[in-house]
Amino acid sequence: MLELCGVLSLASLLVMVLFLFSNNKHDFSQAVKYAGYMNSFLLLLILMNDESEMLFLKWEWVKLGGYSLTLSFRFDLYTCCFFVVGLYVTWNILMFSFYYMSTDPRIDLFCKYLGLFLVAMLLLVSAESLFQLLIGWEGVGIMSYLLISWWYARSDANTAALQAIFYNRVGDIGLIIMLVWSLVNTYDWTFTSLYANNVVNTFFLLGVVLAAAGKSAQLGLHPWLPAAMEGPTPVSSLLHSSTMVVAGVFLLIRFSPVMLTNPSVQLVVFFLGTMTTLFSAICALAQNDMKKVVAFSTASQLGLMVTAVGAGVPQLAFLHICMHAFFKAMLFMCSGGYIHGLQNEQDVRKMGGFFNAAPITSVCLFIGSAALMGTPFLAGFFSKDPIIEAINLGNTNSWAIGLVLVATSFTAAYSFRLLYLSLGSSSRMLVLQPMNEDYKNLVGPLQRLCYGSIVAGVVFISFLVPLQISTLSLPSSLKLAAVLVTAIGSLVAWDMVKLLHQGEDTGDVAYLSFEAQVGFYSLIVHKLMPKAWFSLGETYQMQVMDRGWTELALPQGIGENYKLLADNVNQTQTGLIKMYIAIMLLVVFVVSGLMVSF
Amino acid sequence: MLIMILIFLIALLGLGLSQTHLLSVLLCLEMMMVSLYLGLGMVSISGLHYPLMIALVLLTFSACEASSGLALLVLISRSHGSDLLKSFNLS
Repeated sequence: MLELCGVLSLASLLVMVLFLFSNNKHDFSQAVKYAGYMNSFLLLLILMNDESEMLFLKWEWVKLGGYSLTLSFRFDLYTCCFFVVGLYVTWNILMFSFYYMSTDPRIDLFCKYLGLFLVAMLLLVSAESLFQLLIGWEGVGIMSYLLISWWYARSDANTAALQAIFYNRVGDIGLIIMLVWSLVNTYDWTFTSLYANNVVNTFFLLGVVLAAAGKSAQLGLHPWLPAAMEGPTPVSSLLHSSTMVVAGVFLLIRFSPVMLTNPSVQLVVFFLGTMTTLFSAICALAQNDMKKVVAFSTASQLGLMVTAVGAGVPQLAFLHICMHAFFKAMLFMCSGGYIHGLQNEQDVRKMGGFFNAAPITSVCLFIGSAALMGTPFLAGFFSKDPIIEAINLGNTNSWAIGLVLVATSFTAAYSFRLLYLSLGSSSRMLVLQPMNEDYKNLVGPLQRLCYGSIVAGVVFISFLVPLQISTLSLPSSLKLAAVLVTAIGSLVAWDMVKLLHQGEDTGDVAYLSFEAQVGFYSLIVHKLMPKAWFSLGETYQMQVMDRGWTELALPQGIGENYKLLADNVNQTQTGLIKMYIAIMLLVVFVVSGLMVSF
Repeated sequence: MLIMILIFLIALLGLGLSQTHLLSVLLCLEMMMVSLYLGLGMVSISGLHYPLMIALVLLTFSACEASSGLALLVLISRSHGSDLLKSFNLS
């Protein structure tokens, strides 16, 4: 029975892939919708079935000596939930992209790219064989590159796409370390063997952490995520909020049973997550581009997910992945609606008063932001609050707790700032903007994701039960910590934003400050360090070697020696008779000397 | 006899390392001839030989050579303006 459902699910995915080859984008979106339904049916059956927890499907692909590469799928709870969420969000984003990219002549290619990305992502999350994970990983990286540089005539887009590839590649080093180590030491590339052998080698696990840091934009490998906002809004909504960037966190969740037995790696993951959360939240406070605020918000929530893995509650991290997908995709779609309505204006300083101009979009933005902040009983609350409780109760130091709480309050602050500047306050846009939201393909997806943001928490918490039972008797201060901190953050932000935007004289804009320059990271790593290396190389090679020693050693040096010799010989060839007489004398002496000696 | 060789060598040095005037070259040339004549003359001092006839021939030829040398000196000083060695250049 269960096997039949598994085969059915895979068959629906295969049909969806076949629809990628058709030229009709509507057919493909319908295929995604029905594949989503089939897969949620499978999820339901797996949950109702008490005997087995997961399903394996394996096909041998290439036989190497002693080991064979396989395509093996693993349908456990994480995979099935992600399939449902991913397919639902992708369906909505496809419909949204019919609205957003409607004037683009290559829209069919765009939908095919999105579909190809979806296939790679689903391969990644259902991977039982680590090699299949690599295939999916690289696939999403390539599609991210192709989609970010969709408007490839724009140099900023190309730079951003290259940045994404470089930072992902640095993370891939970690993934390859993990693959090679596991093949050399455990002779097997599957998750079941990994859990069975319980490998806790630190090097191997640090490779996993590096891979996750590269893909999920943790601190140190983060600049590509804000730069990836150069891509069209559907791309930002699908890849860089819901699906691709959570691949790193998903990897950490898959490896968490072995990672949590190695305390040093767990510590590394925990601190990486907390630093990322706070840093991204600080930078989000100072951004003026609407999409960049949401991008930094994504980075901050990814840091929170990684923190959850490091704190020992990976199921909550997965729950947060699912919840976050709903409201973050919706936030990006609202941005897309505003951007189209303002004729491609993305600066929040030129927005305002949208509550009356675009009510549905504004309401969805509000609900999405509320869910992001962790408003009680919306979607974000059911994952964020338990994570913060787990961190508070866990065996960590207060620095980490402080960072996370401050980051939570900043979440509220920048969300509130975004809401105030776009929905509230006075209208700063140009007067005759065609702000229109009367498109079925805009409103439909927004509504569906809005329903998701509201009810998904309650629905998911009923079957994604965390393995650790959370403490039911907490002091009130710890229990309410997240909500209190959020409230404080939003109130402070409200006050400050009103102060700043009601004055007539805004003064000098602090665009060279720490937060506005993203901690000066881009400046140092992208500009100053390469410049230092290049100028060192140029100085050494061009000036010290090419114009210095190689010139001096051979051409000039030998020339100088010859000149000295020639100067001496020159004196005999002056043409003066005096010299010739003296030479005659010399010859006489030489000959007489020779005669005497012989 | 050995002292004549020494005188000859001194005169040769004076010829080769002459500094300023062409006339000093000619004078050294004469000194070389004189030393050779005296050397030929001193052959008979030990009492074994009679004086060689070739000494007189040498003296004659030395006189002719000195006169031709002076004629050359006169020609050179007419064309170069003086007899200073530093003004004599092939090019």
